Amino acid sequence: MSKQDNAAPVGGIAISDRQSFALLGGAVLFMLIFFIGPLLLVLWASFNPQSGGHLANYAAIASDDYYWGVLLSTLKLGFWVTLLSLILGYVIAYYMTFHVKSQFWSRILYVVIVLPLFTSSIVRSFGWIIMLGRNGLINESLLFLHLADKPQQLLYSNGGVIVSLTYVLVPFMILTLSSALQNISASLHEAAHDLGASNLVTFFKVTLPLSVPGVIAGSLIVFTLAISAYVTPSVMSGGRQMVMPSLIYDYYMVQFNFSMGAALSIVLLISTLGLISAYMLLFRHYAAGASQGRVT
Amino acid sequence: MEKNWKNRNTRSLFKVAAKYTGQASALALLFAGILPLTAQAKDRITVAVYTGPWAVAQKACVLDPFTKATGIETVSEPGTSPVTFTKLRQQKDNPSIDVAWMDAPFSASAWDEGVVEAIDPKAIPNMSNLLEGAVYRTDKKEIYAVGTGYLTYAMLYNPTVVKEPPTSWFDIWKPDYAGRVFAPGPGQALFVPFLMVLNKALGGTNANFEPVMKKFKELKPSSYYDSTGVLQASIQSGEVVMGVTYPSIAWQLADQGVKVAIAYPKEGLPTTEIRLHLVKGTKNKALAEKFINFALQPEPLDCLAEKIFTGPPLKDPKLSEETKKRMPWGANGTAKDLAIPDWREIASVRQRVTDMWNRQVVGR
Repeated sequence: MSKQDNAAPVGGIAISDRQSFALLGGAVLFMLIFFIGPLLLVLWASFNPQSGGHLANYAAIASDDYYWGVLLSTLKLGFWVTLLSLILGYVIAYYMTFHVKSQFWSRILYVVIVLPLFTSSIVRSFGWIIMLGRNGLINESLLFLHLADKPQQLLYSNGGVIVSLTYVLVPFMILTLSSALQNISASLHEAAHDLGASNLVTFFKVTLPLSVPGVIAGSLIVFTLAISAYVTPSVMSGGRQMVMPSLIYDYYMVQFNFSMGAALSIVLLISTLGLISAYMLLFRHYAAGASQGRVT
Repeated sequence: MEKNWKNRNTRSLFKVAAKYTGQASALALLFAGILPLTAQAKDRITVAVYTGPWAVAQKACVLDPFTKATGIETVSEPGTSPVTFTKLRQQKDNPSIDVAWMDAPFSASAWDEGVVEAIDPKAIPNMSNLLEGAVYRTDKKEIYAVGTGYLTYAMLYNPTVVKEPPTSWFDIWKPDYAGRVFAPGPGQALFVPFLMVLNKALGGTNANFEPVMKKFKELKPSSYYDSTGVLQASIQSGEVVMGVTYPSIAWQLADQGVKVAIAYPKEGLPTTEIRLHLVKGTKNKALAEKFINFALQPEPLDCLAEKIFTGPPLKDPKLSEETKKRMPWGANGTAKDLAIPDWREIASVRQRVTDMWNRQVVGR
């Protein structure tokens, strides 16, 4: 076998095994130490409960409605945050891509969207404490507009958690959707218009189907970040709502039951992976159906 | 021709990248080996402190004066008590922390887990400055912690809204203040002792926490806080008008011009202490003992009292008149007036109480 045969092609170029090992080695080692390693430790801890056999934690979770209730609330929170982020994010990304012509304003808008990501989510959550408080901007506006006769409790409620988490995560949706929308050729819109399609028809028949990869990617990012978020739900719920990350934290840091915390982490991970797989299968099915429809 | 040129350049780019990756890894390994050696060349200890204003006070009152007096550098490792305790558990065989401040609820647990070491009184002569109750011994008389300040819960209220000062913990159930009161959540050190005080008043026992859980199910709170930072923001914004917390929060806010007052309910005050521990297996034991000895002088402990209003566990504290009024035992009391709970008993019920709370109270 020649040396050339052993070489791995990279972007049409061959480099030797040694070179590819050197290049990949660092990244693989990093992933093993800082990602796979901790995950395996959590898995191992989950099978060593404080009492009972190796599967005692999982048996307790499976047989107790309380844990399923918390998991369901967490997934519901993820669903609402993803949906709101998608609606808001799509409108903003669409506007930025197709309506902002000036490069200067486009850059300014990107900076405005990315800027909140430079501050910690704790600081942003504190901002919402002021916004949603009894004397905050939203309550003051409701009273001013006579939409309420007394200040409403918006803070430390389920709604408050959804709103603040959407605010924290919507930039991820906008950035992902923007890059998907930018890949759509303007000539397709022109062609649709030439063939007599209205703006609305063009959107539903051309723009939306072509932006589906962005919708999938953005939704997955926002959903996974929402259901694994700890800081924002813990600050914004005022200790009155329970989500899986808070419960896991509680088992680790308050009850010092690392093993149960680990088991709950694994359950959350598996549920999320299951849901994401189902979501992707659904979209693949939809995409296959759509392409078949176009052919016929 | 152009393609060949491109390929040659890209190939050489990969070669250079591979070469530098290898060199960078070798350098990183070299530094990883050298850095600890250079770090050890200087006398330095790592001290687990609290967070926020507490950490600032600990640095100003103890860490910095210690470095000034001895030349030994200190590295602050900030964290709440449960975080510090968890770190010590994880670093059990090779600790990077030498001395740790933790609240009383985690102190006995830390000893039971084998993450703190017995303190030799001969190495800490300043231990004689402390009240006998502030030196914590095991059944075998080994000293596992020393106190550096007492803290209690009290009722904080906004006197412009709550016209009649509260006299009982149960005043947070008054319908006039529904949705505008707060109480501690499970992340707070005094959460279990507070529930115990209320449970006892409601006829419950440590074997039966149902009465207090049932009572909390009827409460209409604004929040059950885990972070005092979030609580302070709620008090400042007027979101809450009455609730249960450390008086030090009220004093700090009062000094910033926020309208708050403190009342001491009749059912008794849940009390805790901030304690210093020598970490088991520390590689800097002699330096760590020096630090603990330094911290137990009257000046650092009185300084903490002035800044964060912890009651100094000293036989003879020297405090300003203003600070005396703000002590956990009130203007005319002493440390002896405090009812220190049995932390071992609290540790034994913590898991059960937290689980009941999460299931019965949260989300209601």
